[in-house]
Amino acid sequence: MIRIKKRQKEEVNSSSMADIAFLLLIFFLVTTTIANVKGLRLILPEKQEEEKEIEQMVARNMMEVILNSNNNLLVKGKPTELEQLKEDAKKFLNNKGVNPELSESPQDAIISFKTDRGTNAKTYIAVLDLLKGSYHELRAEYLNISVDEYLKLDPEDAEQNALLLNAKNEYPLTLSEAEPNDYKN
Amino acid sequence: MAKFKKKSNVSQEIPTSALPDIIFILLFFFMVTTKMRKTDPKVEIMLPEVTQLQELDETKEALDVYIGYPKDASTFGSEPVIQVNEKFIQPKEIHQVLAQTLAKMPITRRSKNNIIVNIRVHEDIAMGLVIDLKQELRKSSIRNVNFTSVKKKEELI
Repeated sequence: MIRIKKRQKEEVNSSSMADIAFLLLIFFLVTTTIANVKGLRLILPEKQEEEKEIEQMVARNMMEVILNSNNNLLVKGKPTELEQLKEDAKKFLNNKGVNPELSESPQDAIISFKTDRGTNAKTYIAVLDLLKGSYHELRAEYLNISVDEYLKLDPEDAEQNALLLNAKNEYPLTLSEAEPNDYKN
Repeated sequence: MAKFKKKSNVSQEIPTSALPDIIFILLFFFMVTTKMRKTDPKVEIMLPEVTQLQELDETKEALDVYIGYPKDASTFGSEPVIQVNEKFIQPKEIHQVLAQTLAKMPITRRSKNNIIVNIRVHEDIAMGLVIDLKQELRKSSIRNVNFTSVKKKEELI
């Protein structure tokens, strides 16, 4: 009797360990959501100086984009479709003094974007996307890369940052978001 | 005959003792790489779709702001609200939140330029609230804003 006892292996049964680990793994897989931190970057204008600057502007250097509460677009006083906006903005920015009605140079050009309080956020973001897109396309073209490649340029990498600064120098993003009309006054 | 006997002695089991280790490594990988969301959104958000997506600047301190319809409409009403850090706030109250965020930052990086306000906006709301918030941000010289969005899917024709 004693002999038989000694022969038995003294092992903890660990076959269910894998199942436990699997359950934990599946729990984490299900509960965690991949953080979505991509978006449209925007730099707000400074506190006061903006209005003065606009007064000094030559009219041809400013493209006024107005989005009303019915989500209709008005570009330089003309009703425009969303699809047309990107082309218009690119023509305006990249004019380089050719057409007397459009901007003198990309450095002088300003796009003024005015929104109404009642505008739909979706349309606002769409217009912002188109305007940023026109800048990005011109910059990417200038650097001879695709827009996707341009968007992936990393400012922390010295070499890529040099490219970015170069493109930003050629086509500085001057998107002025004019203050909305205050109807109380 | 002796040969046959030997064969039957060989165990035909696949050793599975290393399986838990492999699974644990996978588990640790997921635990380490995933970030927990800081705030639990109490508002309904439907992110707008855009084409010009860019990564959020990781070097900056992000402040998450949610603008959308309250999930609990019977308590908070059906009008859009702004949520920051588990609380619903008025646009003017953003200054306090910004001061708190600034105070939490390490002293070497404590600058308003190092804050980025990450706005998640429901695409159906009116711009009034967003405009108010932007004006308040401008007042306190916070100029970096990011509208979190998702990639626009290619339209199938």
